[in-house]
Amino acid sequence: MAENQGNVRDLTADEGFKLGSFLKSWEMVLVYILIVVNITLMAVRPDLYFTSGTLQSIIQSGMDVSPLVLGMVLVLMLGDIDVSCASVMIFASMCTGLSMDQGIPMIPSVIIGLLGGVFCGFINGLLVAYVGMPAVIVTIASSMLFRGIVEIILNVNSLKNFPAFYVNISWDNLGGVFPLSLLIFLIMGAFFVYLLQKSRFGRKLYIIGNNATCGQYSGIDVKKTKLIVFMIMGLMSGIASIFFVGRMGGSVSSSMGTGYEMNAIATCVLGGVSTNGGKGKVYGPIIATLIMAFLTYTLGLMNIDANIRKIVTGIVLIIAILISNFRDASDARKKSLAAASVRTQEAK
Amino acid sequence: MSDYILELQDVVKTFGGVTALNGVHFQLKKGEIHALMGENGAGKSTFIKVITGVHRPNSGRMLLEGKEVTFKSTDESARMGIAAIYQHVTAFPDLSVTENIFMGQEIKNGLGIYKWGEMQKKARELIEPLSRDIDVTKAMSTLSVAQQQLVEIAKALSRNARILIMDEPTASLSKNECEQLYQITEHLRDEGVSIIFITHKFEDMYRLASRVTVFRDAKYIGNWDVDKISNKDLINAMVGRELTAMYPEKTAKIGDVIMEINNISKEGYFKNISFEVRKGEILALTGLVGAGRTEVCQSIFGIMPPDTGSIRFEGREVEIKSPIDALKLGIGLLPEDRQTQGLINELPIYQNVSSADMSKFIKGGVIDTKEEQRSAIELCQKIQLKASDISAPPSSLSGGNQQKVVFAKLLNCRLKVLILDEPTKGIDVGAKYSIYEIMNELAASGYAIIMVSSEMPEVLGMADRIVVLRTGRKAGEFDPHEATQEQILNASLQVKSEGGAKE
Amino acid sequence: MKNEKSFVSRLTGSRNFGLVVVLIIIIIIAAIITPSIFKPNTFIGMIQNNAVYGLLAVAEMLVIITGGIDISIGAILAFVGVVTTRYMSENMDVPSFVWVLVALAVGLLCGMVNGLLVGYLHIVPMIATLGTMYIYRGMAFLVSQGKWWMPHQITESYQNWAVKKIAGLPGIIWILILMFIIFGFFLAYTTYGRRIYAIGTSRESSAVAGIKDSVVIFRSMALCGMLAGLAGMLYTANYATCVYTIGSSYEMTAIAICVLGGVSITGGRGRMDGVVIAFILMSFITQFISLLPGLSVWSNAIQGAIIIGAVGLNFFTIHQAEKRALKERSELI
Repeated sequence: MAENQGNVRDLTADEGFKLGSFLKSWEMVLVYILIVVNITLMAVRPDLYFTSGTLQSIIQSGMDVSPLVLGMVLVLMLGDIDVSCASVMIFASMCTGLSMDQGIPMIPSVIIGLLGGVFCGFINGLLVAYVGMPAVIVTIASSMLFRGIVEIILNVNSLKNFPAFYVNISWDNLGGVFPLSLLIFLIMGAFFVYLLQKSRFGRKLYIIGNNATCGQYSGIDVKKTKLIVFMIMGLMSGIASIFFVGRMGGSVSSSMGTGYEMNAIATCVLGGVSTNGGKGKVYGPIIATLIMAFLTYTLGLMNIDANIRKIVTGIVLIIAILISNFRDASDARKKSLAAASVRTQEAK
Repeated sequence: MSDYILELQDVVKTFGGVTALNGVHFQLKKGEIHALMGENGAGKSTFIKVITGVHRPNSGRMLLEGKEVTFKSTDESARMGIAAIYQHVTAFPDLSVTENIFMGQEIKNGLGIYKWGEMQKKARELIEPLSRDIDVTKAMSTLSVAQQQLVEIAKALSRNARILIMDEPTASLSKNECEQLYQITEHLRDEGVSIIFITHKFEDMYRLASRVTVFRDAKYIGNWDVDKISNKDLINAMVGRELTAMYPEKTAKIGDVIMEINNISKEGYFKNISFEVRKGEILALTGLVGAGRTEVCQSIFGIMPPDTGSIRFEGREVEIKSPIDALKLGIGLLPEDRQTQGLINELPIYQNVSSADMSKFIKGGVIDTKEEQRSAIELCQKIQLKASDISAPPSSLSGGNQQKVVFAKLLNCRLKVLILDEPTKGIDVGAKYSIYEIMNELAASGYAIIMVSSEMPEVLGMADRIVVLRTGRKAGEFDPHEATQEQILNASLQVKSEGGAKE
Repeated sequence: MKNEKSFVSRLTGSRNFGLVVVLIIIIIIAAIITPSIFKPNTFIGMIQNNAVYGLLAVAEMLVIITGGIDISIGAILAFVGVVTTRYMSENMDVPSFVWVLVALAVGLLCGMVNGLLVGYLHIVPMIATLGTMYIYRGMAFLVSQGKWWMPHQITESYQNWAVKKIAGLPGIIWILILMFIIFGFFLAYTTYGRRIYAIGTSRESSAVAGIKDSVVIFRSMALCGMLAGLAGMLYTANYATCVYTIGSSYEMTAIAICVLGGVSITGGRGRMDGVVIAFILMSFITQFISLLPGLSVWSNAIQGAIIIGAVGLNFFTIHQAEKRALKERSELI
């Protein structure tokens, strides 16, 4: 307004590092949970915990789902969901396995598998982005379709001819200490941190996830971006097939890997990614992947059946959501108070 | 007994730390139309919600025919004969007109089972006096905004409302739809309904109301008889100061033609639209709501590219298939709906500002956040944005300042033509002035501006040239220094047929 | 007022038109390849085999119309199936209707937990029911201890609820028809039912109209759980066998039937007649596939393709309708 002219406002954001809020961030809460799980394990089975190889086995057990988690972060960021990724993973495994059976060399076979994954992602992305169908429906149906194709081709047989390094990736430790699968996961994780949090592509995802219409008006090709994200999800499912087949000791059949998509979604949500889109970071799901591994393995060591572990997973998931909902609500209260104080300032 | 059917005394309502109503008074006489006016954020909407029982006041008294009442829910107020028609029509879009009318008071048999046939018959009886072309079995979403409002009125009538509150009902209606609404409103008053008519437009108030109450900054300012207060005093009451000049002085020099629109058409929206715009010029695109103004803008910007016709930009024929093409050429759009098309309320201001062109902040594949913020601060200071800091969310700002964020977003791109679709819609009278200043400065620095506006004074006060659209066709082009309001209105309403408009 | 449209335009404009056309085409193909599908017993067997999907579709529909989703119903089916079968086999002398009541009650309880999480604690439906899916499935294992139940452990009176024929139709079909009618009526003619639509079409308007969304969501999810429980009991009665893994990914088929039947996944829209037609269509397809030798492995792929095709067609017709509307409008310009 006229009377305020010439009065330049300082708009600099105070972005200094604040230890208090860092320690209270959701990612740090996840770290605390991870520590608590570790201490519990140490207390319950000290003999096992300090045996060499236990920690490595725990981590390795959780890595086969990890590429799906990373891909899912991007899909959820858009406000979409992909429940077909486990089927795509099996589809990609089949592509590699069949190629190997046909005598195609190892590297091209692996690439064929990855491309198989990308192709499935492309189909999903096309239907979601360009036809405009809801992602839940598309991926429920395509999940049936992709697994159905594997069922048609493999019937009750299983494929056993896979590159040897698949098993190495899932079971070997670097220098006998550091799990190879964890190393690969962390490298991929670092790339996803860059992709989502530092790059222009990632910023576009935050914009689309929060307000796709505004994204379109800001010159973002929303459809193309969505298509790319689903293709990345397909690629990650292809990479997951390497981990998965390795984990299974180098064989795959059509009925394997069911429920992996739900594990991936649950891990993302535990990691603080909102299923409504536009909220969350990659660090959270990376830590959550480790938490899930420790949790299931610890319960396994306590001789608790895999099916009962599901109950714990379910409860952990629900509690995590309740806590983060509660935090959001109190954040929103603080924000509205801050906004009110700005408005009063303005009025003066 | 009291003279007033409804009286509110010293009503206070706070949300968290925000005071939405600060000791307001209101008196409604039986059978009158009472205008309630005030800027955005003056507390009008909260006020209705307090009356209808959506919100409960922190303190204060409400008297209905002299008796104190408190409503815990909308049900209770409805039972006492109070009905409200909210600004954003609160309908159920997927449900039928019938069901919308009878929501909450369905006709049932003894077993609690709906009697659809009877409801539809009654709905028809209620709707027919208001409009003859509403099919009561159709889904609400298939109706126009004006028709939906009529359904809301029918709903209020079905409840035998004695007090009807209308919250800016004319905001998105065309001139003839407004007139229709005025007549219906007057008819209701004659039938003995007392009406609170909340509005922004002086036109509405003069046409309908006998008395007017003004709120400002959540406070009660006063009430007057409509024929006893001058236009100037009323504006004064609303904004709290005198607006010496409504429109700032123009300094821009008009240069060469930068963009030519030739005969563009879009099926179902507009046909054969041609105009040109020059550097430094403000071209107003006006006409009734629904005349195709927004659609023409969206076509030029590539949201829905035209079917036929051509666009020349800086002398070259160009093809704009998407907003990406438009922004690359240097054409920017400030969209009509800030909240859904212009802003991302969850992201900080600086990320909003940079969203349409991030390329200059990329260093080695990474977004340089420091540079991004510095650049955003510079732009926001230039247009005098009032915010706590650059990483606050836009939702913490007032309407005018939110619009400034969208302006900053456009200025962040290298643009030559700015299309501003209703740039002052929903913005306080005071804040409008600073938007006008920004527009003039931009024109002076060589931008060509196309401004869509429904407000006649704004069009006459700001534009260098005026293009009028009527039902998807160009109805005329005017020089604001020569044209009168009547001429422009005639063109938009087709009172006299213009040459070339009818083919 | 001219509301009377020609019969043809009403027919082609109807939401179910595309669905009926697809159904007729499939019937014709089936008639050419395997005429045996039209023997009454084959037809009845077909509906009987798929009836559980029909019940789950009705359950899912109640939740989808509110704008939510429930992916725990397959797990509820398993949990309830295990509970009733186990305690029935341990108490063979208890009358069988008690187990129906137990199934309804346990299902209702599971649904109430879902409703609590979504309605009152505001967890996104997909995630809340993902969590409870794990929990119910785990509980199914816990109760069953991994055991299988074989037909000789299941009393005849218990099985009869699903298989005993009354007037030529087995019990499970009668119950299915009853549920179609009850819930079709419930959704169209009762305040309870209409509130479900109101919430699904607009939460904001519902709040202004004084409709409490928490209550409506809680109730519809509770009812959904109850129906899933009934489906669980009838599943074990129909097949006279039970194990904790039954019903996995049945929720997907149920959602598919709903979507195929015109229930909008974003809420607010969908009618029972559409769901019934979609259910018959789905049953037809699965039955048709199983009749063709060597084709049974095609079942998932074909179902998936049909859902994509049908929903895609739906979107295509919406686009066409919009285009037509634009053409009509341009005549006014």
